[in-house]
Amino acid sequence: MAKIPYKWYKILAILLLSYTLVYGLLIPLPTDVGMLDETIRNLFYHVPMWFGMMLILFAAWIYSILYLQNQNPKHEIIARALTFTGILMGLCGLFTGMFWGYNTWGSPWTNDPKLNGVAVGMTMYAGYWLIQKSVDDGEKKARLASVYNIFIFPLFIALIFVMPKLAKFSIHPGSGESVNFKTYNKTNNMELVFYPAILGWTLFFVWIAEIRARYELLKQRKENEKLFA
Amino acid sequence: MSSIPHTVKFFLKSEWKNKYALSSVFIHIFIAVLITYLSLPGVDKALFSSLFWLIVIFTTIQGISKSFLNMHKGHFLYWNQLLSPVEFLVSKLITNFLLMLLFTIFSMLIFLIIHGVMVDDVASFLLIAIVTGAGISSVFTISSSIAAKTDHPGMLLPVLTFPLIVPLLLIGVKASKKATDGLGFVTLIPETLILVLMNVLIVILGILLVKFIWKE
Repeated sequence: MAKIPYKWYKILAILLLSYTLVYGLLIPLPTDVGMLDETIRNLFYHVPMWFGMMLILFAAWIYSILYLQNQNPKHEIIARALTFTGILMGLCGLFTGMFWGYNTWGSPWTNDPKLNGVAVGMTMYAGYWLIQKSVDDGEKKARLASVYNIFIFPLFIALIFVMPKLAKFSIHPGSGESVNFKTYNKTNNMELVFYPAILGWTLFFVWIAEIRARYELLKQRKENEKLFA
Repeated sequence: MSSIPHTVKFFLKSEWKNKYALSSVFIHIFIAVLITYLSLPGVDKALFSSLFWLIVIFTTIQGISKSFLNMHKGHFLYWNQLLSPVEFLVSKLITNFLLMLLFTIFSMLIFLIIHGVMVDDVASFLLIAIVTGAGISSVFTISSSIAAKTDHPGMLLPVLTFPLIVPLLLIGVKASKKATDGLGFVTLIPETLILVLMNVLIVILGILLVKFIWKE
C-alpha cells in the first residue's frame, strides 16, 4: 500500500466530518429559532465554508508572498492549489447559502452586502484564474499571478468584512444591526458541532489542495525530466 | 526620487501631444452622459450618483490604462534603464491621478449641465469625487500594468480591473449620495477617511509589488 503523506490530519478530517455529518443531524436544536427551524443545521455546512475559505486564501496569500521573495516554484504551485481550492470553497459556500436562502428567505439571491461582496470577490479570483490561463511563459505567469493574488486578498477582505459592517442592514446574522446566532443559541449545544465542523471542513479542503499541489509538482517534475532527458 | 517631477511633466506633455487620445475620452464622456439623458430623462437624486460613477469608470478606464497597454516591450526596457520601477510607478500614479481629476471634473460639469444641478452640496460632491477618483485611478494604473504584461491585455483589463474597484466604488457612491442629498460635510468624514486609507493601502501594495510586475 502506498504511503500517505501527512496521514494524521486526513484521519482527523475524516473523524471530524463523520462526527459533523452524523451528530449534526441528530443534535437537539434550540427551539427559539423561528422560521429557520430545522434548516439551522445548515450552519454546520454553510458557515464553515466561509471560515475555511478565508483561512485557505490567507495561506495562499502567504505562499504567494513567499514565492515572490525566494522564487521557489514549489511555493507558487502550493499557492495556486490553495487559491483554486479557496475558490471552490467559496462556490460551495455560495451554493449552500443559496439553498438555505431559498428555503428561509424565499429566494436564492437577495440584495445583501455579504452576498454581493462574495460575488464580486469571486470575480476577483476569476481574474486570478484568467491570468493563469492567458500567459504562456511559465515563470512570468507565476509571477504575475502571485502579484495579482497579493494585491486582491486585502481588497477581498475589505469587501467581505468592511462592507457588511458599513452597510447598516444585512439579513445575515451578526452583521449590521441584525441578530447574532449567540442570541438564539441559549442551550449552546450547537457549538459542540459548529467548531469541529469548521476544523473538519477546512482540513478536508486542505487535503484537496494538497492532492492538487502534489499532482502539479509531479507533472512539473515529469516535464523537467522530458526536457533534460 | 528627484526624477519623479520631471517624469510626471514628461508624461503630461506626451498626453498633451497625443491630443486625439485625450479628446476622445472627453467626447466619450460627453456622448455617454448624453445617452443617459436621452434614455433616462427623469433622473432623480437617487439615481444621479450611481449613474455618475458608472459613466466615470466606464469612460475613464481607456484613458487611464492606455498608457500601459500601448507600451511595447522596447518601451519597458527603455524606461527600465532610466528609472527604477518604483519611480516609474509613482510618476504614472501621479500622472493618472491628475488625468482622472480632469476627467472627473469634466464629467461632473457635463452631468450638471445636461441633467441639471441635482447636487445639493457641490463642494462635498467634488471632494468625494476627487478622493474616490484617486483610488480608482491607482487601481486602474496597477491592474493595467499587470494586464499589460499578459498575452491578451485588452481582453483581460476590464476583468482584472472592475472587480477591484468595487470596494472603493461602493463607498464612493454611498458618500456621493449623501452629498447629493446635502447631508453636510460632517456625515461624509468616515467615508472620506476609509477611502483615503484604502487608497494608501493600494498605493503601498503597488509600490511593493511593482518590481515583480516590471521584471522581464
